[in-house]
Amino acid sequence: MGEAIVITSGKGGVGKTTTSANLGTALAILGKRVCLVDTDIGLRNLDVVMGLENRIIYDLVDVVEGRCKMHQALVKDKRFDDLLYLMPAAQTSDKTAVAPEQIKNMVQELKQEFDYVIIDCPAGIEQGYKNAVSGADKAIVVTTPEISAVRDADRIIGLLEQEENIEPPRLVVNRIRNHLMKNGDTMDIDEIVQHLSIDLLGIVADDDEVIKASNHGEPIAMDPKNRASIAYRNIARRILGESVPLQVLEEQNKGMMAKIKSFFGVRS
Amino acid sequence: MSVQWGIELLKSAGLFFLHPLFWFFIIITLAFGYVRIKRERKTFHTRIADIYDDLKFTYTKGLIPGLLLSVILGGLGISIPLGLLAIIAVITAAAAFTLRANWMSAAYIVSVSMLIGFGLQIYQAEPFLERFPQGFAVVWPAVAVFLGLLIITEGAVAYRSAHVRTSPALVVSSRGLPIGQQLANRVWLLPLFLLVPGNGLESHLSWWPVFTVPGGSFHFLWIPYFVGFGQRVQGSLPETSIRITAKRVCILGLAVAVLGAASLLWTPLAGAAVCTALLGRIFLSIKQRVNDNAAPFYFSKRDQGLMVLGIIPNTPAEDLELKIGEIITKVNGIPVKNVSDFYEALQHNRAYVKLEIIGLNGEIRFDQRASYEGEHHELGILFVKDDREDEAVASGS
Repeated sequence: MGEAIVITSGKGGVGKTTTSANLGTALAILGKRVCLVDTDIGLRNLDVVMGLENRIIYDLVDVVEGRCKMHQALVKDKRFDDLLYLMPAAQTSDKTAVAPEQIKNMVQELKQEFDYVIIDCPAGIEQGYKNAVSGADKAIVVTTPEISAVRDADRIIGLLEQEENIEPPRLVVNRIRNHLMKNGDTMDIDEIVQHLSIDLLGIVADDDEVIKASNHGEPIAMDPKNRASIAYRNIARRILGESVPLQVLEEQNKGMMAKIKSFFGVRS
Repeated sequence: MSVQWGIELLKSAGLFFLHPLFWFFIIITLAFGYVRIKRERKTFHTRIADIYDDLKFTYTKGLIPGLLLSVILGGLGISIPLGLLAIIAVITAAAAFTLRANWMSAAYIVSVSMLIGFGLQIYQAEPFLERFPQGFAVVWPAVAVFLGLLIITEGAVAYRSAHVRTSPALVVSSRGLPIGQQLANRVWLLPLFLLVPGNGLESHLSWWPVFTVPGGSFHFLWIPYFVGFGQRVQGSLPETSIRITAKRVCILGLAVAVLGAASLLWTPLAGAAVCTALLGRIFLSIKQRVNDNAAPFYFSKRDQGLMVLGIIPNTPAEDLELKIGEIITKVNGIPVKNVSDFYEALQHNRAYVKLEIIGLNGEIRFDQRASYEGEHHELGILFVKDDREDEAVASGS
C-alpha cells in the first residue's frame, strides 16, 4: 500500500502546485507509481502545469458523487508509461462540493494502486485545506523566504501537528534568490528552519525556466540538467529515504577586491 | 627643514619594503605553513588552514601594535645604531631557520644581540664596528628600554591573537590513549619606526629625544621586526593557557623596561635588564610547560560525547560557530560516542544537521544548519580519536 502526501502552505502563490507537479514527476522518473490529486476545486491548475488539461473527461467531484468510476477520471501521463496519473479537480463546483470523508475514502482507494498519492492543497485554511489533509499520511509545507509566507507556514504547521494521522510535516523552501539571502534582504534557510522548527526536506532556487516549463505543460523535473529539476529530484530521493545533501545555491562571481578581502580573512 | 624631514620619512618608508627580512619572512612563513600542513596531514589526513594562513597572520596582526610601539619609541627618542640592528637582523634570520616561533621572542633575539654587541665593543672588533656610521655607539639604557617595550608588545600581540586558529595535534599518552594538543606557532611583523644615529636630522627641541643620540644627529629607519610566540597546550583551552603566558610576558617586559629606565641612573642595570629578559623568558616557557604537563589532559576522549579538537576554516563547523573544546553529544537526535557514530548520525539527514553541544561554559546548547553538497563530510570538525576508529570507519563496521 502506498502513502499519501499533502503539499500545503497556507499562503497562496508560493509554489504548491509547481512542487506537486515536479515532485510527482521526479518520483515517476525514479520508477514509482504516482497519482497527483488536485483538490483545488473551482480553481484547478495542476492539469495545466502537467500539460494534461485537454484530456480531462471526468474529475474528482464526479468520482466522489458516483458519476464515474475512479479509473475513468484518472488521466494517464503518457510520457511516463504507466507510472504517472492525475486526478483533476472540478472547475465548476466549489470547495463545499466534497466532504473530507469522501476525499479520505478516495485517497485510501488510490493508495491501493499507487506508491505515492500527491495531494495538491488549495491556499488558505478553510474547507479546501481540510479536504486535502483528510486523506494524507504525510505533509510537506512549502514556503518562500518572505516573512509573510513563513508566518503562514507556521500557522499551517500548527494545524498539521493537531492532525492525529499525519506524521510531523517537512519543509520545502521554494523560490530562493541567493543574492537577496546573502544580502540579508530575505530570511536565510537556517533562520526559516529554526523559526518553523520542522525538518527541512529540500530547497529550490528561483528559476525562470520553471515558469517557462509550467507554461508549456512540461514540469521542469523532466529536464535532467536544470538546477530546479535537480532540486526536485533530490527532494524525491529524500522522500524515498535517501540521504542527499542540499544543492549549492548559485554563487555570484567574486570580484578582485572580494578575493583580496577573503585572503586577509576580512568577511564582506 | 620640514622638507628634509619629509624626504627622510619617505626614504625610510621605501627602505622598509626593500629590507631583506621583509621578503625573507614570506619564505619563512610559507615554510612554517608547509611544516604545519605536513604534520596535520600525517595526523588527520587533511590540512586545517591553507599554507597562506601563517602568512596572513604574520603580515596583518602585528601592524597596529607595531605602529603604536613606533609612536612610543619615537616619543622617547630611543635610537638604535645600525650595527646593532644588523646583528638583530642576523639573529632573527638564524632563529627563523629553526621554524620554532618561541625562539623568535624579543627576549631571546634582542638580548642575544645586545650581548653580542657588548662583546664586540669590549673586544674592539674594529672590522665590524667600522662598517657602520657612528661606529657602534650604543646607548645601552635606551636599548634596554627598547627590549622591554618589545617584550610588552610581544605579550600584547600574543594575548590578542596567538590563541586564534591554533593547530591541533594528536599524541599518545603514557597509557597509550590518544591525547589532543593545541600548538600555537605564530610570528608577527611589527613595522618599527626607529631613530638611527648618523648624519641627517637634528632635533631643535630641548626635551627630545629623551635618550641621548650619539653624535647628536640621526635619521629615520622603518624596519620590519619579526616577533614570535610558540606554545604547546594540552592541559587547558588554548585561549586560557596562552593568555596567562602572554600576561606574564607583558609583566616581564614591564620589569625589563623599568630596569632599562633605571639604568639611565646606573648603566650596569642595562645588563641586569638583558639577563632578566633572557632568563625570565626561559623561566616562563619552562613554567608553562611544567604546569601544562601537571594538569589533567583537557583534549582527551570523553564519556558524554565527542570533543572538538580542531575546526577546518570555511566549513559548516565554522558556520555553526563551534569552539575548540566543546563536546558534541547528539547529532540529528542520535547520541554519539565515537567518530563512526558521528559519521553515521550525519547520514540520517544530509540536508540538515542538528547538534546538541556541551559548551565551554558547561551548558547544553543546540545548533542546526542546512548541509550542502560538496561540504566537508564530517562538517569540518577534527576530533580526539584513536587510529583504531579510523580502521573501523574504513572497514564499515
